[in-house]
Amino acid sequence: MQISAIQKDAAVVVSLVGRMDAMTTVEFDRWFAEQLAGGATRFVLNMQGLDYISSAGLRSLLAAAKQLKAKNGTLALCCLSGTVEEVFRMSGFLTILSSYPTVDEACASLT
Amino acid sequence: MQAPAGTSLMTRLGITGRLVLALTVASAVIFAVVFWVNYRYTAEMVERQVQAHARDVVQAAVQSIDDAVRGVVRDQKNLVAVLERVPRLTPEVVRNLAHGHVTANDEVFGSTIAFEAARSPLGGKPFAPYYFKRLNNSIAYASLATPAYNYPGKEWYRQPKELKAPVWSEPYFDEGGGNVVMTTYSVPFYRQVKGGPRLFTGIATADVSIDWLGRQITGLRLYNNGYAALFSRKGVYLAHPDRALVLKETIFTVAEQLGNQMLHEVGRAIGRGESGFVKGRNIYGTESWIYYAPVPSTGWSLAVVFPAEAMLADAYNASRAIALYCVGGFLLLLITIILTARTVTRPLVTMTDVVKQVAEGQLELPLPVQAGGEVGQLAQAFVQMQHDLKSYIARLTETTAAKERMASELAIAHDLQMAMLPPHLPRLPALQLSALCRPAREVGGDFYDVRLLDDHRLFFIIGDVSGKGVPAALYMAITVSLARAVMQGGVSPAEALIRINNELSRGNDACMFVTILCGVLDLASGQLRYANAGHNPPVLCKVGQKPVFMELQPGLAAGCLDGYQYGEGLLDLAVGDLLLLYTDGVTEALNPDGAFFGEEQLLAAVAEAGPASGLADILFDRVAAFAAGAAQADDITILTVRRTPP
Repeated sequence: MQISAIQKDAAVVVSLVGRMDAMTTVEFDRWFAEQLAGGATRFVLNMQGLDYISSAGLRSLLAAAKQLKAKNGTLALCCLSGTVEEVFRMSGFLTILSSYPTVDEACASLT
Repeated sequence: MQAPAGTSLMTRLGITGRLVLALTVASAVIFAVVFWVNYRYTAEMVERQVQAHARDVVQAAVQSIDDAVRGVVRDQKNLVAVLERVPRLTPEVVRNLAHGHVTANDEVFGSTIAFEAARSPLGGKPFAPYYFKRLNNSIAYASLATPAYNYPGKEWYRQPKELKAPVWSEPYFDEGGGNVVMTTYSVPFYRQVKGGPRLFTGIATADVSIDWLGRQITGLRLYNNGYAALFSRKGVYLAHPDRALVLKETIFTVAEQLGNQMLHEVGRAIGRGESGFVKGRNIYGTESWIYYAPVPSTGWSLAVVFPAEAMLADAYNASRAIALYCVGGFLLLLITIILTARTVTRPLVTMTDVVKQVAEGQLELPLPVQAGGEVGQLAQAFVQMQHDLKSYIARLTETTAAKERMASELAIAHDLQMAMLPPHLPRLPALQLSALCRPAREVGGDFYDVRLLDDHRLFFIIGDVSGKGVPAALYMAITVSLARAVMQGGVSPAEALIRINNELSRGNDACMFVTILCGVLDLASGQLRYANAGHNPPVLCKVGQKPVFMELQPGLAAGCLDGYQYGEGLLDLAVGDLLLLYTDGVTEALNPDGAFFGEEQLLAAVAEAGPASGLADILFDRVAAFAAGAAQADDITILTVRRTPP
């Protein structure tokens, strides 16, 4: 999985590309911990390039969201599609994580 | 051990071999160069020495010949002066002069004063008194003015007369006189006749023996088999160690006989009175250096010949000595190299043996570390390696033991986990059930449960904990226990999920969650009440229809959010209808190419299996066949419920 982030307005926009499974989720966790330590609290996860997400990946996102909540931060998803969107929908995660069709809308939601 | 193909000779040889080969080649080249340079230098030096020596010898010899001849020339000049100035030349005066000339000069063997007949003291008659030395050194007289001899026709007379200059004759062998090699110095003289012009009056000659010359030439002390030869202007041998040539051959005739172009060239150069230094074959066919130079007073040329082989003998000898030293030095070097290499390699050989034994497991064997230098360092490195090896093995033993312990613990955990699943499914007249659970590792996060709540209600549940392995297994154990406790209370599926979720969400720092689908089936009516916490939609296969995925309200996976409210769904199962619950380990099973088993294949497999019993195993076999040996990525759980005619 490739993780590439840019700062957009007040949010860190992260593009996740590839597969987010038990192995690659570790990378995300490490990256996210660094960001958190760096003081970032608003995140937009661009899921456009994500081909697959496992339950371990969902767990990692859930953990991220909970940590942010504790710091009054937020996390928004955007550009979900295909099987990944299906997984989010089926697991009910869309009911606790906000999701937007575009990056801009996601960013706008954070302000 | 056989050397692998393609290795060079250098790498196949040991250290000794390599040193010997490399140093042999290097020193052989050095010795060869030294030898060659030395030989060339010596040879050039010898050639220069020969040239200088030849020049010295020739110049000295030429000088001595000139000196000897100059006496004759001076006396002759005096004689001619007398002949031209004496007021009256009577036969007596002439005879006395000729006689005196012979007696006064050691070099002069004979002398005549020959007159033109017209101006002869005898008044119109030829007059040529000749005095010469006999063997006993007494003086003899002979008249050359005989009709048989006819001196005016002789070359010694005609040539100087015509040239009006003194002439040295070509040497000749005087058979009549002293049986010696002679040359005649003929000088014309002129007298004034009665106040008139000076007219040619006659020729005064001096016969000079050049036997002494031959002796002097052949007696020249030249080193190394060198010899000298004297040639007339026409190339006739005047002196040569081989007396057979003297006066009988010319350099040209010899050159022709031998086909020797070089001698021919020398002959021509002699004729032009030049000097030179040439290299080529001498008359004996030996490669030689030849130096020649003219004797100015007579027009002859002296040549010295040095056979090259003899001259170069010193150079050869020196070179041979050097070659011997080279070979000796080389052998010494070779022995030194071999001995040194041995001392270098001996500890290596010893070490190799010891290391081999160490490699075979004798870790306590002491290594020979007393050696110094690189070998000592190598030994130190091996000691370190031996030490490391010991600790590695110790650690490995420890790790292996720990691993085995863990494996046995996991095996027990597996057994425990499997024991948490129903040991057997309820046997019911109107229901066909099948189920299986296969963790991807020893333990997993999947589970299912099926139990009768009372006579006519069946409770079933399937769940999938996020992640795999031990954490998932622990979470699964909690969930299963919770589910059982909750269902004891006989609550509705939605209420069950709410309670499970609230319980799981509390203090869930690990953010684990579990997707759950649970339901309660009325065995009599076939009515199914179900609730979903983020689980995959089950497959529904109505009698006579194709299997489809059920449309479910998603519901949040349990453990995520405390207080989440779950909804409930209703479904009527007719007799013969099939409901198939599964975890995503089925649809996300991977084959070696990385492709998913997928939902379509699942539906197809269900359709294909039809109403067969043991459906869970049949589907698992299909998934396993698809995976074709690829490692199971996720836990697989299948639970099927089919209403059958009672």
